[in-house]
Amino acid sequence: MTRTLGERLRAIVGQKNVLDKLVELQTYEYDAYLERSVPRAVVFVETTEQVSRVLKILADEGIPFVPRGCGTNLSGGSLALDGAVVLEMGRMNKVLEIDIPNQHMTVQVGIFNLDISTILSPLGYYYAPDPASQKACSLGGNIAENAGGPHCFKYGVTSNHVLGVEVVLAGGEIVWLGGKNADPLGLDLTGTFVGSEGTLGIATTAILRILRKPEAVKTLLAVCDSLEDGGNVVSAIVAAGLMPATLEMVDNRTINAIEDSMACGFPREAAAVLLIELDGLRDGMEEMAEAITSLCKASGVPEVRVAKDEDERQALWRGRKGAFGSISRLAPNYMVADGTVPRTKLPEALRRVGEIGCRYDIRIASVFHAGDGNLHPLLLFDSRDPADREKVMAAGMEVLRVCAELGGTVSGEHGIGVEKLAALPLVFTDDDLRAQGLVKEAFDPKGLANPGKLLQRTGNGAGADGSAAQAARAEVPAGV
Amino acid sequence: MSSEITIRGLSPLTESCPADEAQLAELLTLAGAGGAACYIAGGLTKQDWGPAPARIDRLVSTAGLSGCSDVDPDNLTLSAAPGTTVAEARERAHAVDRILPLDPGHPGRATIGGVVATGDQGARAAGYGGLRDLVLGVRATLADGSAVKFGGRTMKNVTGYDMTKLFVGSFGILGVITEATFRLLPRFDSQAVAILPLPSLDEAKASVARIIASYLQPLALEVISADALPPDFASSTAKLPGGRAATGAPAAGGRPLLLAGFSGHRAAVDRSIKEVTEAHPGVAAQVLRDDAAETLYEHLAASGPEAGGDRLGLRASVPISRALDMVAAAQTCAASNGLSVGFRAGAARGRVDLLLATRDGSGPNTDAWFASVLSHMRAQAVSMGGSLFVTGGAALLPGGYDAWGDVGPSLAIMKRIKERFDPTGILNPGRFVGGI
Amino acid sequence: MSSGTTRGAARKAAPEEFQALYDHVVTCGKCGFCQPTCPIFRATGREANVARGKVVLYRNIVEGRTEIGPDTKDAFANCLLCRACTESCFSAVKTDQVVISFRHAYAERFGRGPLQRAVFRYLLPHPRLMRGLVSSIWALRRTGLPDLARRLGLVGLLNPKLERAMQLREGTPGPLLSSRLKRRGHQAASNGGAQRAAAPLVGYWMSCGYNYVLPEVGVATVNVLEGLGRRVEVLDNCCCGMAAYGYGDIESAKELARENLRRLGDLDRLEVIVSECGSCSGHLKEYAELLADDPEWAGKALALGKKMRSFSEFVQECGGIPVDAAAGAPKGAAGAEGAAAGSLSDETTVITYHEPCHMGRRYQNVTTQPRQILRSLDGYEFREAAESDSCCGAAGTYGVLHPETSAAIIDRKTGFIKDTGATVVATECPSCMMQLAFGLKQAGIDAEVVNISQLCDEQLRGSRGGRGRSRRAVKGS
Repeated sequence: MTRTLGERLRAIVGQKNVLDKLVELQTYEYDAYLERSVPRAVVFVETTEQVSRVLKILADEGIPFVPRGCGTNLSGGSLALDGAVVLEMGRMNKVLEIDIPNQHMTVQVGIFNLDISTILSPLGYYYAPDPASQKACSLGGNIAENAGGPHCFKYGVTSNHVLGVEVVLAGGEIVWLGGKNADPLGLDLTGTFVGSEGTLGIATTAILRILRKPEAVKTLLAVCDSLEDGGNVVSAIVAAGLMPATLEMVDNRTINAIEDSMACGFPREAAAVLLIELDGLRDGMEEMAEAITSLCKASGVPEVRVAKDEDERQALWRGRKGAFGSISRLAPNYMVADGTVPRTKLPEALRRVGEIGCRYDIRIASVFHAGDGNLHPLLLFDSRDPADREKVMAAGMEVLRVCAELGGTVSGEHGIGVEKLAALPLVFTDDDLRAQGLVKEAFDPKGLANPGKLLQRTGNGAGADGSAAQAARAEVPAGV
Repeated sequence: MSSEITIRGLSPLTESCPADEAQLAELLTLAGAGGAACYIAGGLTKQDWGPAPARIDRLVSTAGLSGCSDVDPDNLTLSAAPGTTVAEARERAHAVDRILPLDPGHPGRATIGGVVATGDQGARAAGYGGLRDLVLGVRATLADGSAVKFGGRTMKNVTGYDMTKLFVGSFGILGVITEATFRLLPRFDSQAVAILPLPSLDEAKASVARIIASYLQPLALEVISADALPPDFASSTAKLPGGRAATGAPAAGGRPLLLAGFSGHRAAVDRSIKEVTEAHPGVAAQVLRDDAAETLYEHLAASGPEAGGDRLGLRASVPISRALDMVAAAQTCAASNGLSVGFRAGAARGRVDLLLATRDGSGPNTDAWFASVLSHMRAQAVSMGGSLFVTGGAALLPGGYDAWGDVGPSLAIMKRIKERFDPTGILNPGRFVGGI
Repeated sequence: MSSGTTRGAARKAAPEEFQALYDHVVTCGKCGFCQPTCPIFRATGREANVARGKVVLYRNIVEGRTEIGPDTKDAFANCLLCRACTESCFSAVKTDQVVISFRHAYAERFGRGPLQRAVFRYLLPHPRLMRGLVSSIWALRRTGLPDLARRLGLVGLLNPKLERAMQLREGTPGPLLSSRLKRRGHQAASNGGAQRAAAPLVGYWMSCGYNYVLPEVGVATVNVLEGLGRRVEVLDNCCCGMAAYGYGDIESAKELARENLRRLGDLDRLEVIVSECGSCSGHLKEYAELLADDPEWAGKALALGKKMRSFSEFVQECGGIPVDAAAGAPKGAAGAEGAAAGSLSDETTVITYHEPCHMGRRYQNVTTQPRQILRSLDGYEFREAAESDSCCGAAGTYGVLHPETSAAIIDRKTGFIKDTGATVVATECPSCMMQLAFGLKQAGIDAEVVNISQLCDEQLRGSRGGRGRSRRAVKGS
């Protein structure tokens, strides 16, 4: 970084809020994906104004940028490629307005997702999109990825709950997309922006739809002998007119891992365990739970547990919540894949995932959103071994191929990032991709926003050891 | 070949009705080469939405692209071609015991393509959500004739940009939708609607606020003027199973009717109706269940904004808590201008439909006068933090009227998007906001 | 490129001791779940300050991508060792071990500051020297000159850390705890007449924090122990060594551990050893682990761990604090959850609890006992604060060395305390006490900080709780 650039950035955000020493930058070269790329610098911002001024300077010099929330991204979306400057948004975490009568709230994007609902809870409201990482991920990251979560079968994903977003475009222009009302005029730019993985600009403030907390919640757990039975249960529930808020499933390998570490009392031979949660008015809920229990029995499910109170509900959820932790004991590392298939194709998808595991000699344990067909196979490996890593990435790509073949798509909620760039042709033609490129051009004609993600491949691809990115850095003088 | 159809007083120079994507691609490519202004037509129920086109070189009808290509009750998806009427698509879902959650005006004529392009959602938007929440994927043919697809058939889909959202509500200016895939809902156990004639708008406002703040989850929550329902509605519904005649006279003139509709488990629906009706002990509530409730929704849809006609149709989008203030403003404006006003306020989403008409020819009814009414009502909506556009009776307005109002600075991005998708400006040119 | 060669080559560059943890730290999947639980990360938002960042740097050192040096030092200096990250980690990565390992390795290469060396190696093992030094410091302060300099802003100019250190205690504490207890005749030999000779003998651990800064707490503790029918022997221990260990001076920590075991001698005479400092009791319970490789002392360390009790733990083992029959029905605090002492009246004080890290789930796991005691107290209504189990940000000298971050951390905590409406904050650690007092004052919250032993002492003496009593000496400045 040239002396002038560093000074200019520090003049905006303060002396201590620009990182440019290699060691400091090494702590920003990663997210929760498997690759890394050292950024050119990291800038901590606290206001929309600062973001705008920083982006203006970067645009003047043609330097790309990437926004970062908590860096929990699973597809490499937070990696700084092409010598991009990271704008760390975490300090912008204030709640600006809560408007209960109009059912929305305005909040800065650096806030932890879970903190939003924690703040709303005493008011009797909550924010529905609840990805599993919600206590550790930022709203901005959710917006970038259009995050889902266990409740999206009934409530939808992030995009269905963002009414408007304040965006700073590459070049520094600040513009509001959408607003506070449900049906704003013009093209749905808010909807276009959500899920754009930071490639169209940087969101700084968002207006969110908030919901009244449901009066009652009812949780059941079905222990299934086969994946088909589990699928049939879900089909039957839907056919009966019931709309559960949550339908989560874990497979046999996961069950055994859970039993090894937490002893939840799941039968080890069970093919799958299905967690069902209803929410809404109290009236009729008991009957609905009974109906589901009958449906389970009719589908040949040997055991159904029904929670009678909050403690029992927590107990039913324990296993699902402890799934990742339990699986992490099986190997040094795991990679979470993220494909989606039509729900009825889940058993076949999982069977083929199993075959991939055999072929690549990788152990795979799966957690999946049984209502919407989004599956998360966890591929176990050892990150100390580059060959093992390569195997897992190749196997991950195979999983996506299977999903595409079964009529689904290659990313359900984790985004394309860098991980799935190669998978786009599985679902998109060149014309499809070209049309998407038009949107990118309209927002970011110079291509400075999060290069190398979602659509673009960068010239300097991120390498396993960051070698390509380090080569890129070599052109840049050390120090600021 | 000249056309029999006129649209906003214009006769298209030619008319096409492509039978498949290939034909559509061909004619768009041709149009592009000649810079021909194309007008994409479905059921033509929304002609008055947006300004009158400057010219129509070619009318492109979607009538030849019709039918449901895929109905998947297990996976809760339905895919349909753009020329399919909403009624037909709903029927296809119903046949497999599912609900297609679309509730536009005039569903017997409104098409899938039109509804996706305009985002028109009626009374049941409260429970169904808006179109943007219901479309999982689209296929479209772009101005250069290329066929593209976005999204897919799964609810969870973050592959690439969410182009589906971009196309929903885009008024055909980015491409011609050739297929749309929707989310289906399971059929419900039971449904019911309570109709309460309330003494005043203020009371309606309080009632609606109470319901929104409660645990109840309405499928529909409307406050309407009595004339939004056909005059014989009360007596006709009394004859339906589940309906019962209202005691006393139907709501007169400006008295608002509160419609609160619920669906789901019978016990939950009953409790909801009870909670709503018991909040107004002095009011003679009418409760319609199941088929009778469905009929009510059909009537509401039939009384939606109409193209042409002698009533100025306006649709406002304002904050939820101001929806009835917008109605009050309309009533004040109407009174001081010698107009009558009918209203339908979707109180759960802040959508307000207004119909303003002259009263028996009294008062001036020049187009300039209507333009000032439009301008005034728009200013009201904007001051509440909302927006307002014209949905009907456009012929009452002078040429060059402001159909949409201001979008704000994001218009620049919208323009850039339009320029890239349709560089020669052949798709519905000038139809949408800011002249794009 | 075979994996074996790569791994071997990378390992040469790193210190031997890093190898042991390397296989452990590679299980970090970089999921980032450590972030919301880390008080430092909450305050600064910097990746290097959270477990994931530290683990990545540590791993980079082993793999030769970065070095141990001044640039990496700062990341590892910023750790409270509270283990909150480990608890939320899927792989349960022990980042505290990683940090201590780094601090040790750094000191090996770059040395320790002379002050640190002096304190850990030469002062702490010699309590008499420490007492002399500390007494001199207080004497200096009593002249009024240091505080004058502070008010003039000179101290802040000289060294902000020094100023922060001065803020830990307003004024001076008077005679050190060891002196006070000696005067009462508790030293070594048992006290009292024949009727007490049969009572069990409890060893009272002399914590540096209470001895040098908050002696009134120690007096209260000894009162309570006697009130529970025990004879008290004030142990002739030196510093438990937790600070040294936290700094990565493992050698000093071990030496201090051995010195203490020497001084304590045969533990059979003692029923238990009690400390109302969570850090001391927690660290002493881990002596066995510290000296696991030392065959001469491992057994004795194990024995010490078995005898060790934190204050609340012991009180509950004894059946709780008895209540004066005149004041109401006896409440054996063991198991009496949730019963407030009477209805909320003017005389009821709302009290909340800050859980010292070393008392919590992630260390000793003495979590229910303090709360049971607080619930059982007459005249108090106990309310749990949000994040009561998160670190206060003192972490020994962290608060002094990183004043801004530490102030931000305690600020978050005091906000939650304020939400409870409590006017009394109870805890069981001198460092926490000082930090809480500082934080409450900083936030303008009118609440006092007490040790649980002081509340128990009050209760035993039959006094009712209430505001305006000046028994509590802990005020931040």
